[in-house]
Parts: sequence; structure tokens; C-alpha cells
Amino acid sequence: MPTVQRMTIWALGLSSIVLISVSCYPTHGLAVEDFDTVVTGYVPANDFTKYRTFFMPDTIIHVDKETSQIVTRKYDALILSTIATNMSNMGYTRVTDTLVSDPDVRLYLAVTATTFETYYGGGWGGYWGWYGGYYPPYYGGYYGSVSYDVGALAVDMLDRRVVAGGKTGAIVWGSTLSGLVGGGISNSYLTGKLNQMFTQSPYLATGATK
Amino acid sequence: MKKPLLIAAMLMLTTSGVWSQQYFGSVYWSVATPTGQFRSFVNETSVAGFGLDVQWWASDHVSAGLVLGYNVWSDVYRGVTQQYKINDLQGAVNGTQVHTVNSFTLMAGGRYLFGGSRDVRPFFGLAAGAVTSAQALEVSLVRFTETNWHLGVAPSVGLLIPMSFNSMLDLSARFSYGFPSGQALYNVSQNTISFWSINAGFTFGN
Repeated sequence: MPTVQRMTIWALGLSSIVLISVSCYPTHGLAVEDFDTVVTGYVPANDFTKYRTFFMPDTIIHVDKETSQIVTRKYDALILSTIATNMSNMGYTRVTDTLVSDPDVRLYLAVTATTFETYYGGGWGGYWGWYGGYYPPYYGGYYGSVSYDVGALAVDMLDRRVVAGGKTGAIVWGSTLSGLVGGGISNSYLTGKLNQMFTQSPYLATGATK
Repeated sequence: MKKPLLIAAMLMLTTSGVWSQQYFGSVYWSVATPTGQFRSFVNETSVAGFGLDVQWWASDHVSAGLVLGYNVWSDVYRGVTQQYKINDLQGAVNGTQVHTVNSFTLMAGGRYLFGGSRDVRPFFGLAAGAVTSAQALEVSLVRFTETNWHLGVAPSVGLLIPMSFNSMLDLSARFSYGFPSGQALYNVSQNTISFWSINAGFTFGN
């Protein structure tokens, strides 16, 4: 068989199989919700069974102006009530006036959100940028950009009697619900994620529940 | 990671002009399924893979040469809760995880073929060399990766079916095993890689 013909057959055969394989590369069709995570952390040395009462403000803190532009307060009441219900289920009694009764732990809720922008393109233009940063599009053209909002709700449990790093008032448990800020969020979805914070933190149960 | 395959492909194309009758090469599509503990990280059969064998005839029944391949597995797991421990802090992460493993096979191997050159030729083969495992675990926008090279072996059985004077249909089944190396991204004591692959392609040469 002539060399050129053999080379052609090889090239066609190899490229066909490579193309078939690459076209089969799995894409999972991830939804916005697939980028949400619930992260919890605690200090194992801390004894949660001794706790009985908690305090939680009736406001969720927005950490900056950008956060307020991205995240509405539409779900604040739902978030606060769901957290309170879970704490109650864990055996905690809510204290509303810290001047009257000093709670064992205090919960603080805060939201932060920011917009990321990713540039894509060819030539020298393919690089990552961060909205608000100092990565202007240079080195030739880029084809476009994709921006997405990323946000997080942080719930921190603080015990003013615990000393950590030489300071009183250590965070003994913390949780973060984070991901892409999408428009398709529902009450049941959000409730499920908030409940998950406590489902994966069974050690939070006070002695009152045992 | 794609460099070895690129080099192999270029080598094959640039040397094809000087190939004589004692050489043959196979290019094939590879469907692979993980086995053993590797399956606990990616539990899916992947159709994304291909391979390339370049063989020299040592005799009428024995060939030896290079066995190159690429396979990728990727699976999504929703609602996974994974425990973690960092220094004095413990906790858990719940969310959707995407597990991906890219694997390259770079081995030397041979085949023993039964029958004559114009017959349907069953064969068995054995290859040894290196197999890579590039594991990636993605949770939300965070990606953890772990890449290791393993010493590996890959026995195989197959069939060459003549199609025309210089080409044959190449069907084979291969078991690839990479011995323990490095650390895994998932909870196993030894990081190995093992998978079965069914390969179908064409052999050119004589």
C-alpha cells in the first residue's frame, strides 16, 4: 500500500476514534443547585450537651453593599425561623432578651455575595478575571465573558465562656450554605438546605434532648 | 498529561513512511469499567476512551511493541455528605460531587497470535509499564486533584478478523491494573487503579 494512502488511513482512523472518544466525554448537565454546598465545622473538644439556651438576633447581616444588591431579604424570615426551629429540636430554648437572661450560646447569621466574571476566548485572550479586580482584558481579543453571582449564608455559634487563642467568645460551631445565587430557589429547597446544617451536626444536641 | 499521547501519535504518523511489512498498528475505541476499590470513586462504565498499539513482528505468531491508551470516567453524586478533619476542627460537607479520573496507559507489551496471517486470529497479550490516575473531586466551585503514576500490568485476549489485505478488525478485552502509588482522594488505604476495557478498532499493517 502506498505510503501516502497508509498515512491517510492511519490519520483518519486515529482522528475518528479520538473524536468519538472526546465527543463521549461526560457532561452531567449540572443545575445551579448542584453548586450549593452545606459546610459545617465544630471543635470536638467542646461539650455541647451542657448547653440549654441560645440567642439569635432577628436580623441577618449583609456584610457589604454589593451583597445587598445581589441578595434580597425575601427569605430572611424563613431562614431565621428554620434555624430557630432546628435549634429548638436540638433542645435549645431561645432567649430574646440578653439583659434578662444570659444565653449559653449566641447564633449570628450573615450573608455575603459577589459577582465573578470569567473571560474566555482565543489567542492571548483566554484568561480569568475577577470582577472588581485589576485584570483588564489585554493581550489581544477575547470572545466574551460569563458572569455569575456567588453567595454564602454563614451561621456561627459563639460561646462567650470559651477561650480560644487567648480571647473569650470562641466560635464553637459554624455552618455555611454557599453556592451560585440563582433565581430558581424555593422555600422548600432553602428549608432543606438549612435543615441539612443540623442533620449533619448531631453533636449539637443538648443534654435536654437525651 | 496529553503530551505522551501526542508524541506517540506524531511518532506513528511520521514513521509510517518507513514502515515495512513487519510492523502493524492498532487504533481502537475503548469502553472501560472500573473494578475493585476504584469503583467506589467512579462507579460507571465509560465510553470515552481510545487506544493505540504499535507492534513489531518477532515471528509469525509473536509481536511486541507499545501499548498506549486513554480512558476517562466521570460520575456525579448528589446529596453526598463527606466528613473532614483539619487539625482541631471537624465537620462535614454536603453537596453535589463530581468525580473524574483521567488515565493514560503507557506500556510495552506483546501479543501471541494463533492461526495464519489470512485467518481469523485469536490472541492473548500482556503489557507492563505505567498507568496514570488523575483523580479530581469537584464540590461546587472547588476542585481537588491528585495525580499519580502507577506501575501497571495489562493482560488481554482478543481477536483479529481480516478485512482486506492490510487491515483487520481488532477486538479485545483487557484488564488493567496499576499497583499502589501515592494517595487517593477517597477513603482507601492504598491508591490503586483497576479496570476492564472492551476495545474495538482496526489494525493496519501485515
